[in-house]
Amino acid sequence: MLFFKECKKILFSLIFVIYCIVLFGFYFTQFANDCEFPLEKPHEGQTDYGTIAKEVPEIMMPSAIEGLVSEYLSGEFSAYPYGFYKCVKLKEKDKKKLAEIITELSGISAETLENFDHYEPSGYVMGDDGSLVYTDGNIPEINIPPTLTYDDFRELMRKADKIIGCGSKYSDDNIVGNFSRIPKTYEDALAEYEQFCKEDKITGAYARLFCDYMGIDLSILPVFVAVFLAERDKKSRMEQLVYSRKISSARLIFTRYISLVFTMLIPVLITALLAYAKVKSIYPDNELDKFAILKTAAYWLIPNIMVSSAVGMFVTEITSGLIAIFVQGAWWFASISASSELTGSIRNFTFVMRHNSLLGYDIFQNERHIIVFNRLFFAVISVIVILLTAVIFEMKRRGVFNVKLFENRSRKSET
Amino acid sequence: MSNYLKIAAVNLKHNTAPHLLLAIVIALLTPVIFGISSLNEQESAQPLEMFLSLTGIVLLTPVFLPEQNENIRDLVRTKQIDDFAIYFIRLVYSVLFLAVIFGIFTIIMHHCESDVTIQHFTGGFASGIFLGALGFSFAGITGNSIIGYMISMMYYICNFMLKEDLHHWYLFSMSFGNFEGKYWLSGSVAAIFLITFVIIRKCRK
Repeated sequence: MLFFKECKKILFSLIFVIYCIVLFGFYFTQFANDCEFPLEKPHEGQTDYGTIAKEVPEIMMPSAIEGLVSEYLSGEFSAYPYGFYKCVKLKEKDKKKLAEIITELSGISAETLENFDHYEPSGYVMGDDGSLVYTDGNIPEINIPPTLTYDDFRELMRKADKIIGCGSKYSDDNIVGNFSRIPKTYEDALAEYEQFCKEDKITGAYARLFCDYMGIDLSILPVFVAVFLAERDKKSRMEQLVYSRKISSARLIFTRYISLVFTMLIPVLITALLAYAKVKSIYPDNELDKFAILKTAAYWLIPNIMVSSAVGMFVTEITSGLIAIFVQGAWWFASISASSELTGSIRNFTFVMRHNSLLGYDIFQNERHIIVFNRLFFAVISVIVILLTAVIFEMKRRGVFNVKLFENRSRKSET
Repeated sequence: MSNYLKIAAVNLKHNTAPHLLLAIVIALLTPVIFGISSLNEQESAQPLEMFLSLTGIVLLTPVFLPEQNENIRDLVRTKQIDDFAIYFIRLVYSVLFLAVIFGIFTIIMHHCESDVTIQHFTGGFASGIFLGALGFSFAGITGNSIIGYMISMMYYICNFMLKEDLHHWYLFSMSFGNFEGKYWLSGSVAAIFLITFVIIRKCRK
């Protein structure tokens, strides 16, 4: 049967061996490394329970406005448009627009901003005795207009973010985390721990962490396996032979695709079982959800493998393997970089989903409907892409499609 | 000598041009993703180490690609010129292109008032050539470029996850103010090139 033949071909290929080594390497260095000790229960009297980002207008408004005025006076704005630091300097036209926004927010006139030359940033400076001393900095006095509502404030901050070029501290994604952090109380920390034990049954939390780490790998690794197998046919000049066979293009392409996804799931299944055993070993007396890791891996990771394999097969079919790797690599890089936060940043079209925390059950539950849409969307897209691959394959078979890009062009010189 | 120049010209035209184009695309994308103006010493290292270094993979991994087509390989081996000389020519000009890309990019960063020095150029180049050397080596030894791309990409990703666990072989060390690792990377590159040629030669015998 073709399916088993394809599976055998993949299982005994060098690329699959490397795929398994990388996947297991990732599992042991990342997930297993984080599972050395159980999560500690918070106890009363601890000096610090950490902080939590919470939308509190009374905290956020003054500190965000101060931040914006300070950055305006320094002439440089920090932004992370693609997850990496970018120092933004505004053009005169944009500076004027931003000054108008600052005036609306802080009551500081454009003239004051223009002529203020005693600016000093706040932060730690070295004191005379060598110790670090916090200084408040020097900026014009801020008087938030009493008529400024919270909604107006957020709208103005959105405009400011747009002028800076998106991804700034004032964007919707970053403003709460940057300017509205409050310390966690003992009760908050305990409630989170209780959720971890009772709602998540421990393995639920570890399942998310497992998928978070493995998802990074599984969003790019399958493209190499898919490209390797597609290129192997070209290399061994099997294409013409395959074209002449009776089997329909759709059946051949879909069988290949299903066998690719199926075989690449085997090591994922093994690591999921290892993950459960690891969690069981550090929580021997707790009640665990035995199937949580397998269930989460199924809906979280399978779409990643499906998409990555589909892109590999499709782009290799129309152009070449190198382009397929480049396309998938660029998508992977953009998706990883776009996640400004490692929890709570899953959107409808986030390809590499992140939730790098054992806590945050609430955050994940709130994202649940987005996640369902997201995973279904990518699963459907990958099936459509494979359908297109079958169409291209059929066209090539009939000799009506022939694009060669980034292929071994030396064939020309050979002649 | 003219024969070698002719080989270089033909290879450049037929084999390297698309890969060079892709490397240029990556270089052009770098300022879009990272800021390159008014950066301090450590920030300046980020675009060079964390993104531009990918050009190393694109340029060096396909050095053995043409001969992975059996027809071409058999034809090349019938010629008087040793095929290792051809590999070497491709390797040399690929490394030169890599250096030129890093050089031009460093100069542009300097013009954009970023605090870059010759150390940034050599440090970024060391990361790029190391990634490329990994791809070159695995592509050459396994006889398959896809494996070369895979290994070098995975190593690149590992640098985001494992960080200091990679010790002297951490590609982004300059972004954290450490230049010492670059000597180790450079030494390793020389060793990888040598070992790869030795293994391929031995396997052929």
